[in-house]
Amino acid sequence: MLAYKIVMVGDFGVGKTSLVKRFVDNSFSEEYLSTIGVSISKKMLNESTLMLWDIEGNTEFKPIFKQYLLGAKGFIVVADITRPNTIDAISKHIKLCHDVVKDAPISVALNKSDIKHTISQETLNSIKEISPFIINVLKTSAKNGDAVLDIFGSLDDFVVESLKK
Amino acid sequence: MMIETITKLVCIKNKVSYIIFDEFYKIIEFNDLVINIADDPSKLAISSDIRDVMWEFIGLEERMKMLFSGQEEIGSVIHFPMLLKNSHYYDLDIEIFTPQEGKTLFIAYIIQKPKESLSYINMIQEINKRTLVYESDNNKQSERHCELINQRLLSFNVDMDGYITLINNAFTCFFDISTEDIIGEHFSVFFKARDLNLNGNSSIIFNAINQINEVISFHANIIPMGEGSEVYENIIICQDITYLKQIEKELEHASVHDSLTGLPNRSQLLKKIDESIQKSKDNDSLFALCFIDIDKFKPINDNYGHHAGDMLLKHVAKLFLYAVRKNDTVARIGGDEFVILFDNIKSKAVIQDKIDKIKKIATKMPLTYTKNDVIAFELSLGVSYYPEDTTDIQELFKIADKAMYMDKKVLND
Repeated sequence: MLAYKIVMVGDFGVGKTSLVKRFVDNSFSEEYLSTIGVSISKKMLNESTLMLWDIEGNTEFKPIFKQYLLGAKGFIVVADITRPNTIDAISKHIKLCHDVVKDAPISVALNKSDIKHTISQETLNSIKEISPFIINVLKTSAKNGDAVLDIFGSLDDFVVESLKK
Repeated sequence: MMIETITKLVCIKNKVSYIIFDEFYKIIEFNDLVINIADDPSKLAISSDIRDVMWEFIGLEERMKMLFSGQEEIGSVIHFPMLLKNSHYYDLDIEIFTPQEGKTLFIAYIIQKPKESLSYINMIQEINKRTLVYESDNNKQSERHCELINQRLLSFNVDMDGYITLINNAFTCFFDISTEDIIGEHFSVFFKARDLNLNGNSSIIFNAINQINEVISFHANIIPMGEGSEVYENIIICQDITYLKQIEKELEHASVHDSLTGLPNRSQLLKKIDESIQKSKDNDSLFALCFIDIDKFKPINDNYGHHAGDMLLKHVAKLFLYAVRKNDTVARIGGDEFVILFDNIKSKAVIQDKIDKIKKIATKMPLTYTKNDVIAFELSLGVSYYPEDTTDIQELFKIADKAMYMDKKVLND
């Protein structure tokens, strides 16, 4: 069975841990406890074993530690759909991912879509245009599970397909 | 052999887990502490693949190959700080390990973070929590902020002829009329003012009737769009100032009324007298001024206290209002002194009857201050008549005042 590494990247408090928990355990907690360092989870999906690196989110005072991204086969860049500053930071995170792993596929999760938001189609299009290696931009909700399986599944399909080549 | 032994001893002494493996990831050796940090302890065994035991190694193949082949500087270390495992934090260091036999291997050290670092972690988590709450609330609040402004401030745009071109939600809510029925109407349909000229003014006071028929006063700011002769539209922002109008009314009332009894004060009495003089001149009618004071008011104050004195003044005021007609004016002009303006009277006899009635009521209705303190009182009264006694207002006051003192003298004798 193919085992590979996926890293969750994004600002603090966007819901990286919640997305992993929803995907791995199908659970959710309203309580927010920011991840410090990294926590690794394992999830079997189809013919793959995904090693999910849930890393500490970027804050104003503490940037993401590049070493955590080493050897990843794909990234999920997460933003909080209700916090524009976290959406603005997506391009910076994508650049960081590609600095460490050139040309790695990226899925963008605009999380917390269950909360009232006002993101425009124009913004969604502009996110897609940040990099040709973005395979999709999905509005996700770790709270109600919307598009959570889609975001991990589509990235897995892409990675598996590209590793077969 | 010596270096190997020392390395292992140092690890055991410092409670550092170590695991030695070869270039094919086969485990060669490990110490007992590894069991605590293995992701899959069941697979922890000599010759098993370290990637099955510790998930951190998956994906590191390329980098480790470089380390193994000597493409990296001597002494290079692959370092992962703060790995969270079973609620403990560890640092992972992977480096080349060459035992004396000469075979090149890898050694991974897994070092548990000291307890002190937990307080740092808790502090960072607390800061992040607060920042998240602040950022999230900030977004919600700015939304709420706009909603609140929209609810409180009516705003509309008018063209240079005063026809409405744009309105906000507060406007439709206030009048309970649909947007379609408002756009295109002249703003004067909705707002009334002394001067309805918007052009050139920066602010204006409007009145409008809301959907429950209350008259609401607005202070409106007029913001021209464009400059000078190029102004093509005005934005009007209206703030409800009804409460200010109410305060203004209350202040006006307070300035001409006695705060204790609520009766008109001297200033209001003079105004009423002026009106009565005018009526008297117009209709050839008669009015009377009756001066009244409470006998021995000072001893009442001294014996029962000032509160009792105040209660007596209020009690007396009520009795006077009870005794007079609607169009008469009862005023308190100071201390225990009251004046009744009997307007448009038919004869002096009528007033004499009124005076007798007031005196009788006073005798029959003492103030029950407490269950045991019933305060009896008597009144002295003096009357003057306009225009019969004089047409000079000062003189009219003097005559009534003098008559009242005469009455007091009689009473005291």
